[in-house]
Amino acid sequence: MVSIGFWKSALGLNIASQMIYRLNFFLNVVVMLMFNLTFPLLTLLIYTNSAGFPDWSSSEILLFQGFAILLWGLEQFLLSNVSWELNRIMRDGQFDRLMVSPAGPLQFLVATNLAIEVIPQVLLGIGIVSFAFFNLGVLPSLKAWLLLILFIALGLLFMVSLIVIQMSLIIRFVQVRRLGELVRILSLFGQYPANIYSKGVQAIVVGAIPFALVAFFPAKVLLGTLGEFPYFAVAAAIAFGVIAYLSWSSSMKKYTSAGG
Amino acid sequence: MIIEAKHLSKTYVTFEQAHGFSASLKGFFRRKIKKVDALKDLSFSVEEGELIGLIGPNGAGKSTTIKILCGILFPTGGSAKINVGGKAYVPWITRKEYVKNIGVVFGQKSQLWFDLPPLDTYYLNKSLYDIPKKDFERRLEYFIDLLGVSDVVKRPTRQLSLGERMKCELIAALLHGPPLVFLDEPTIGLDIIVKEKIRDFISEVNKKEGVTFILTTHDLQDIDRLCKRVIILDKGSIAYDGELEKLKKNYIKEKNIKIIMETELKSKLKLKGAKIDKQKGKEVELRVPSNRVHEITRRLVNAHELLDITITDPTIEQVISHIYRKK
Repeated sequence: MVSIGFWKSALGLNIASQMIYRLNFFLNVVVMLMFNLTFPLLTLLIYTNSAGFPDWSSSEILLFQGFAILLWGLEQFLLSNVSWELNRIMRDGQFDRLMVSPAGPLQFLVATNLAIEVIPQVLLGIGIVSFAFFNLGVLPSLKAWLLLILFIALGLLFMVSLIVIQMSLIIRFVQVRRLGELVRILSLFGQYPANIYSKGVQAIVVGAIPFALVAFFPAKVLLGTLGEFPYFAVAAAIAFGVIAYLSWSSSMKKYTSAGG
Repeated sequence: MIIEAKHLSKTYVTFEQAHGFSASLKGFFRRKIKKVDALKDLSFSVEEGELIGLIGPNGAGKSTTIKILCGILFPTGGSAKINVGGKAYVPWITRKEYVKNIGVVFGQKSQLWFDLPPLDTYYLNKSLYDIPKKDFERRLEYFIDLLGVSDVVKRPTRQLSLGERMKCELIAALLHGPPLVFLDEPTIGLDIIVKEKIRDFISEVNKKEGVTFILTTHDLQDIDRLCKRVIILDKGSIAYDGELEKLKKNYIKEKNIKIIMETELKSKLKLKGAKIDKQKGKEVELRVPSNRVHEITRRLVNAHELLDITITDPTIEQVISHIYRKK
């Protein structure tokens, strides 16, 4: 097991190396913030100029979007640079270096490629969730808080699993650049409340590819409107975790390096 | 024994790709699978504290052997046991635990952070390998002093020359005090002065710290300068495993003779029992059987006016090319 000290050092080096190119860092932060602020503002605009989303008030939808920004932000902070970096280092065999790291290639790759510029997005997500939560004035029970932690953990497990599966495919097939974009397109379904979709799409978003765990269920559980426990979503997230573990282990065995 | 490799084999599955657009189009739908045997039944052992040269032409299996022994690749067959840190490891099975006990330098792959000074990477490795502060500082000071890089380690890696970078790579690979170090072409692309410095460093660490080194290289001067024992690979098999001196002395029984004539010869030099390798102007290079050196040089001196004569042992390049030709 690698120590917390390693993660602290890696975080420090990530910050130091990204701060060297100051303009690039500044632009990254600004663009990221603008993009993520546009998302809830646009939804609010649509909301106030249309019938809105069924069963969701404007404060409730803000809570939902706060969770979406926060969890996607966490996922991007950890993994947004990783698949690009992996694509780059796989072709010329640089991945070998990671294989001889005591942290293991996955942990080393994540720790040394943290997307520092996404931290403001995470903070923005926390800010929106806090604002919406206090605005709503809800008082969740202890069970609701525990369920919230469970859903957030499973939501992150699901998102991390998607990236790990993608990375396993990169190791097997060396170049799979567009796969990440495919995942991003699919993830758009998770950026709106699941109940606005038709029954068929809902079944997919909740039970098969559980994007609903990212924002929909966390928001619902805090609002006290969860209803039935989402067994299918939980099972699907765990299944994704198992698939990710197996595919990563298999890709490590099949890794062929590059010549020379 | 620190390394025990038995019957290692590795077969890669690749695809044959013909040249041209139509072939690429055809290959997109149907690819011809080709199996390449990179290693065939490789067995050898290494004692603690040895400095072994692993040499061979491109595609001989040097890097594949190193990668298997580092745990990067799974072999297709065979076994390997590495005894380090008081434990026996099978590298590809217990890779994460095992790699804490080895150091690896890939000549063409850097572990240093490109935008930051090497010193930052060293501190990252300190936490990664959990190196006690005292040990870390002592080794860092020792290696920096030995390689003369006290200023270099404070400059961003991207500003370093290839030679400076390689010195820093060596430090990064050794800071955690590994008893076994794999060096995959550590002198590739370096100038002669840096090469010498790096060779001195490897030799010193091997002798003083007792670190076992496995070195692959295309520069046979590295081998000549550092290794007592060599393993020569050819097409995935061991062509020779033994002492370098024995190889040079016994494998081919010839000496090199270089002469400079007083005046240029008008025709090709003819000398019974000698093989003329090169004749240009007043200079002639030839090879003669070791047991006939005296007789042949006497005939040479009697028949021609010579300015200079040099007799040398065969170079390691000659020995190896002789082995390959024989195979």
